[in-house]
Amino acid sequence: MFSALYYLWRLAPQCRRPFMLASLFKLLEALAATAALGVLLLAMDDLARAGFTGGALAAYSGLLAACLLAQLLLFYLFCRLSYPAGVDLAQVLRLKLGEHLPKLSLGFFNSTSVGRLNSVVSDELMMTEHLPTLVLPQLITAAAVPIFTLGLLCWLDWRLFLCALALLPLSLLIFRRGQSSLTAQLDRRSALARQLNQEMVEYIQGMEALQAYNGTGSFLDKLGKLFIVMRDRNIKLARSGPAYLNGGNTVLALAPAAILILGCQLLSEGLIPAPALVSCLVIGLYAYEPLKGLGLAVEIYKLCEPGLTELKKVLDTPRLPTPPRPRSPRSYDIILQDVCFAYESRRVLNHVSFTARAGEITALVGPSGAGKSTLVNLMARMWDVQAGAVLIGGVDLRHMEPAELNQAVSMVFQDVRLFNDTVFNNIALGREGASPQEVRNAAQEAWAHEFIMALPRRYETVIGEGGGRLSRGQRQRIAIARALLKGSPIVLLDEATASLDPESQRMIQQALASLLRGRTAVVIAHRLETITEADSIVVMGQDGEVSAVGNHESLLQGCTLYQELWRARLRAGGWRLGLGRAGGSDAQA
Amino acid sequence: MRTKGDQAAPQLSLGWIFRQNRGALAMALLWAVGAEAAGLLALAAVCLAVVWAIDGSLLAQGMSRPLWLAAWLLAAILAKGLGAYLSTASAHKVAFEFLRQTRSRLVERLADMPLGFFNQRNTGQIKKILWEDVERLEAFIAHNIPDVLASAVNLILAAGLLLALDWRVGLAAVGVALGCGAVYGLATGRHRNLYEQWCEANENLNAAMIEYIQGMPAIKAFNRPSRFFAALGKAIDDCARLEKELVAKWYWPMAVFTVGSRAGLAAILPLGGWLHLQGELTTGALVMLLLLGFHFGSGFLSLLSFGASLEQNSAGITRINSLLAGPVMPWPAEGEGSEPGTGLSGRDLAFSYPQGPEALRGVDFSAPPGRVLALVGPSGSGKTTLARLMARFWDPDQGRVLFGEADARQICWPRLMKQVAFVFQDAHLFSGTIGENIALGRPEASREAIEACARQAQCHEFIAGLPQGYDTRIGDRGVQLSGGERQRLCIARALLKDAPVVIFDEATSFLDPLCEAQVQDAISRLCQGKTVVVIAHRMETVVAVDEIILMDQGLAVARGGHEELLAHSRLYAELWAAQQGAAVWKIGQGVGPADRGGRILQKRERGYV
Repeated sequence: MFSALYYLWRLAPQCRRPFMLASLFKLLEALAATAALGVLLLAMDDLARAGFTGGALAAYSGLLAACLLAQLLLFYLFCRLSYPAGVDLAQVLRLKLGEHLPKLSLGFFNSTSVGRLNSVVSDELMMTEHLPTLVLPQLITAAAVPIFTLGLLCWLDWRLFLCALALLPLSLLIFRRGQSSLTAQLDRRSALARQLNQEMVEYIQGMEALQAYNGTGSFLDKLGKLFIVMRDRNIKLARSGPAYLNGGNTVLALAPAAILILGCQLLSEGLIPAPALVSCLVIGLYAYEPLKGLGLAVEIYKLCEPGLTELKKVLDTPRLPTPPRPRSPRSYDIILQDVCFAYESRRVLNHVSFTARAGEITALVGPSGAGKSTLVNLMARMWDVQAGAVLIGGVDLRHMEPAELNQAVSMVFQDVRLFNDTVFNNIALGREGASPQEVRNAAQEAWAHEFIMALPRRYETVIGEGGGRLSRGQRQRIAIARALLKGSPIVLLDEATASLDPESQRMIQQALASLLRGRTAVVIAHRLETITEADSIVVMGQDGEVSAVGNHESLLQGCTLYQELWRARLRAGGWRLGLGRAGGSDAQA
Repeated sequence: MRTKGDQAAPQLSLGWIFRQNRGALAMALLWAVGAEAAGLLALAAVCLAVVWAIDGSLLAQGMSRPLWLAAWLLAAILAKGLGAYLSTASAHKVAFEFLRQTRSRLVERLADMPLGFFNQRNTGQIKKILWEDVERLEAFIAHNIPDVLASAVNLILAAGLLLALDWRVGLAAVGVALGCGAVYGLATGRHRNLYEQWCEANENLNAAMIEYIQGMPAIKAFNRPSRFFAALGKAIDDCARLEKELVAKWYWPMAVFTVGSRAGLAAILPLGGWLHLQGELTTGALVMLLLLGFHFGSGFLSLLSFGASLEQNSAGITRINSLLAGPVMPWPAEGEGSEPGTGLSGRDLAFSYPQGPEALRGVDFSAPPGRVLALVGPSGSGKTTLARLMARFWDPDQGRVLFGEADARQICWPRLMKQVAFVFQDAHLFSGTIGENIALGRPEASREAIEACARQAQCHEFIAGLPQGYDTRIGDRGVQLSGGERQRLCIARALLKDAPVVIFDEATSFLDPLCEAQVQDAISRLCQGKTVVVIAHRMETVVAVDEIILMDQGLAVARGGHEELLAHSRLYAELWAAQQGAAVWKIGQGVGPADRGGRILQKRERGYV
């Protein structure tokens, strides 16, 4: 918990001052609270000495009122300083995150890390603002009040002080035991919770299949059983956690009993006056009271923890290293020199070398898993190569300014990310300060203009989250218009893009034709007939190696893998439902 | 086994929770009363010790009085700890049982909803309700309820004791506590408007943050982090500004709340002291009043904060209720209703999506037994919607879907599902073994039957090559399958089910050539001898089917064989020409600006789909 507070302390220097002042006020507030107890003790002391007079009563009443007023004022000041500072803290953390993200490599933004990040930024990051506003004051009170009151007790009688103090280590021991057993159980519980969560997600996402195959009943039985296991585990957890907590609290609550016995012993031996014993008894009743607030503090801290851990992980992810003296490419040839790459332990690319010449179309073909997509990702520096080099115009990608590289390369893949914004802004993203006419021209070239004009507010129509209200073909053409406006000399393309939406593939093909004109194009190809005219075809083998490079004719002659792929494609292309294979028997692979 | 759609789901409310768990909550209350009473007894013991110490009679009988008092104190403290513990434990029991019941009811309810309900957008929301909103109720029931019980009991007992000791002092102390409570309580209800604004700003912020994270690859590709960061920054600032404004309203109420728990002392000391000096209040009573006053009021304030947490939970309860009240399809009870006949037809079908435009209007279709019916048309023309009505993902707003002579709505769920197999593009594989996934429709199927279907679906070979064959796990903790492999597994699943009607969406996701041919072979096997409805995206694949229906803007505009349509439907001929042109496309070539087929498609295309 303290390390988390320290981490925030380092991360947000602008919040330090208000928090220090707020802590000071909180400390003074605890002092005022103890003073109120002190006044009460004085009054009782007078009662015990039979010196309780009207004058004394007036003085004590005044003092008590003053203490309570001071407490009110100090707590107000504490709130006034710490609450806005808590808000500031959450703001600072979010801004830090926002600033840091664009500096990470594109490879960071895979689905798992994005999913995790999404889940923490909303709820858990928000909880961190409670660390200083709720956890810190609880800690201060829990530490300060017992110190003040026990100090008073020590001043009254050191033996009774030691007696009360002796309870502290015992109860802390119990709390600690509870804490560690709780942590262990919580871990087991969260594993179960993850499993349950996954099963429920699967239930929702697989509803179609479950219904179609009459599997709902048995899945519901499975869920029902898991719900019961989860309930029982939770109930068990709820039995042991509070047991320790109540145990520790009970030990602390024994203070007045201990003081009573020892005190009476001392009283009988004349070692303590009766009025002092009264005070000691009352102190024993209240000294440890604030420690109960620690439970709440720990609970809140546990809620913030996942958000902080995730935040720390992201902020600690190193930025993409930028070259000290960046170089600019002289041309837009892409050269791969002996490139190797592995995802964790799985080797994906094996000593790959070839050149994609500027202004030409280079196609990548091969069975799935041959590393075609990885190759293209390396050309955009989503990841850095592990051996060898990728060069554009003779310059290693790692020696280029990242912004310049991004400007030089456009990617047109199957997933299209559109923003929750107007069509115009989504296209204009391609170039800073693009004029309406330029946006329109790009849309026309991408065959998107006509359907945009059929939208309710034309170019000003806001398209939903991720562009959800447009067909895939329409989203694809908006993305192409954007890329046209960007005008990068290099285009990396997944050919499947063209046929994701067969009803509108003709229009996408037209749009792609505009996009590729005169640029360096690297194309991942699935339907080989579309790339028979490519300037160069790179055939990738199953093990991530280049098995041949050439044009369509030469590969048909000389590459067995290419021949095999070509024959399969011809067979697939001639398939007719209800007839089997066109022009031949129904082959059974 | 449960029957679909046969139970009304009661709405969730606090009252319902209380009624459901009357017994356990009564126990929690009982233990709380015990604990608080024990706490007061402990206080009384200390009080007695103080009084005896003051009048010097503490050691009147040697150590016997202190020992006796200490034993009393010890017993009371232990009883208080035990009572508090048992009270929380009962409340937790209620809470977790309640969570289980709520989730069970929700997941059962989901099974009764139209399949069309589970689209992408909804899935995320349903997940959130099932997990987060339900989970949040635990804290409310398990922590807030026992807190409130304890506070209420403490308040009543302590107030009673105060009044019993001296009604004047008691009244004054209760009055001060009530005053503090009023200050705090008034503040709680007053800023609802601002609170709602802040909630909205917070939601905007979350949406902006998520868009920023998910869109980061695109943002970087277009070198525009500053623009998006500015938008995000504005959302962050708006949220922070509103939150600061909101918390500023709470400085004083929070201070009053904190000090209020002992504010009663400010009345007890002067008034009690004065009465004592007048001889109307004994020393013992005064001491007891002072000790009680030290904490009196905290109970009252906890009660007030219960209102705030209730409000925080009400949004979640509302969402849970809206899911419980979601659309449900009525189904005949199992074994009742009509027997489905052979063949599939539809008459005069019309349908609109909830809050959407009209998707189908006056569509008739007929797929006689053993024949193949294909649906073609531009995207957004209603092909997929029509296919979904056939499988009763939704009910039509008008018209009927008939299995033989039986209306789909009159057929009980298991019978209908036995009748139809559908293979759509994004078929789901469950985490589990490959064998379990194929046998989803017939869990009792033998290994031989599973293997036979896998062979027919062209997937036996790759399955046999996996480390544990049919027992290999798929999903997060198992092997990752390629798109083509997943599709073939789904086809094997449909083959094993062996339903007389097959509805499938001709795949458009892209596979490598070897895979594609294998998937096609598998589909051919699945459709053999069945009544087939196919949603055809590539027209060339359905030129040989028995009948083609051409859909356009929600209408069935033409029907017939391929040649017939080519001769008589201008739209069909144009679409065909456009797709034929697309099929011979080569990357790097345009089709020319005068491309007639493309231009026609462009005119047919709708703004929104």
